[in-house]
Amino acid sequence: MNDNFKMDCSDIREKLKAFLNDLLVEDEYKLFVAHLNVCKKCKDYVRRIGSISNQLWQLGDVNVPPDLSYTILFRLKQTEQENIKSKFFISKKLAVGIFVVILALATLFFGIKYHYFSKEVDETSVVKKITM
Amino acid sequence: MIDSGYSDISLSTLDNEVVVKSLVEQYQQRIFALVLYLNGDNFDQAYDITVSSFVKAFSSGCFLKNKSFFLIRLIRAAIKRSRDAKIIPFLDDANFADLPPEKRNSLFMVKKALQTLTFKEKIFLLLRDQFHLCYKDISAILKMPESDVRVQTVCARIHLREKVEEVLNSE
Repeated sequence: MNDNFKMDCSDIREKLKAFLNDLLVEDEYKLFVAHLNVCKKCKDYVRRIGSISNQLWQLGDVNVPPDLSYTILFRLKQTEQENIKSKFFISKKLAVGIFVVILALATLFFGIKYHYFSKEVDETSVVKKITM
Repeated sequence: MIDSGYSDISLSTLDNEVVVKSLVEQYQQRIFALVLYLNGDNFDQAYDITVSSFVKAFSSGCFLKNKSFFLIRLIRAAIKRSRDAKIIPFLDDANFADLPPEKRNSLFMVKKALQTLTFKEKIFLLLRDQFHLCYKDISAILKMPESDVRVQTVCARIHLREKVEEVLNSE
């Protein structure tokens, strides 16, 4: 966010009523919240005012289990490893599939070639027999 | 608010461990809270849903285009999983043990009132008032017009206020 568009502490006091009544326009609302996120003094000041919205905000201050972030990171790594394994399994399957297709095509190619070659041999032997 | 960045991230999440860690650190609490309030008071279930949502968000796109794209995916995954999960009623105010009694009571009342709202109403309220997302981002997450999101959020807020009054009157 550009520094020119930041709110200062006096702006917070000026716009507090509009904030509590949810009457700020969206850009002002963003700037207001951005200031509260960095200024503890203003945050405490705003939260001292008893409104439903403020009480809902304060309800959000729950105690998060201390190992939550660790579990999230652990599960992420686990999922990533599972994905790598499944990708490897898919690529293994793909390689087998490609091999089978090549084998089938080669069989078809040599089969056709053998078929025509044997036909040619038959024809030349017949011609030879006739000329004799 | 969603800010863009991380535009040149390569394919593997393992290769970008620093970025992954920073995204997890940045959003884990808010996603955990979102899931917790959508589903009730089941910490274990919220824990599992949060973990699987992060895994889904990181792996579904294969790579992270930017933070905004990632966050939309992450919240979508969390909402989808929460929708399928079993809702468990809130039991106590253990989360606010450090707060003064008066503050604790008022937060617990809002928490109780929130429980009575529909799943959809909770989504609008939590994304706007807890996550502080702008309406454009919420409409992208929920795949619905921005004007509808605005109207539904205001309605949900009014409904919550009524429910809080009901809870107050019943005590």
